[in-house]
Amino acid sequence: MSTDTPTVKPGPRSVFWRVTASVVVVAGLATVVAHSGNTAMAAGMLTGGALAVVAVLVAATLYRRRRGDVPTGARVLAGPVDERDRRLVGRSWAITGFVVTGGLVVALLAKGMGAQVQEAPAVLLWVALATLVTSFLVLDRRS
Amino acid sequence: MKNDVRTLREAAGLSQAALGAALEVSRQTINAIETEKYDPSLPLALRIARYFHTQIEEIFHVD
Repeated sequence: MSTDTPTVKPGPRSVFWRVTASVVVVAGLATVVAHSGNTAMAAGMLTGGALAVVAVLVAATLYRRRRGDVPTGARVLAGPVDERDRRLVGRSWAITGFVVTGGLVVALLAKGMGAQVQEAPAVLLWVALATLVTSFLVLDRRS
Repeated sequence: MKNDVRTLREAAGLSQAALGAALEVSRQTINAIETEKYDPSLPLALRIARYFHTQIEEIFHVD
């Protein structure tokens, strides 16, 4: 087994995929909100989301270039990442999936009992985003 | 998993950042390994062992 493969994988390709993933998430949130009839809110989410994505990427890139000791979050956003970063991201996504699945079950049960759940998809997406960020921060501090 | 990475690093006069740069991982990863909060992958453990010219079992201990 070769151990010469670098653990760190910098480069524009990883940044491209991070930007793409961020755009997909923001567009997905906006689409769900627009589908529920609130087009003004969807437009605001698109504008604000796009600005936030760009701002975070620029800040993370500048931080990475200026400091030797880069925080885990900045590496994940702007690269390069190492194996611990990838493991943290994977675990954060796993927790997020667990939480969203639970929320989905609750929403479906509520709908089955006759509750109005039109806003549930948008709420679930925001819960997913908050869970992803929070779990990443907590795991980063604990590991 | 207990390990002697900190001892070996300090004996070599290296900072966590310097060792991380040499092994192509972050300073935080070296710190997490030294504080036993993170178990490195087998390839990284091998690179650590080779960097210090020793064997994996001389650095990492199950007990």
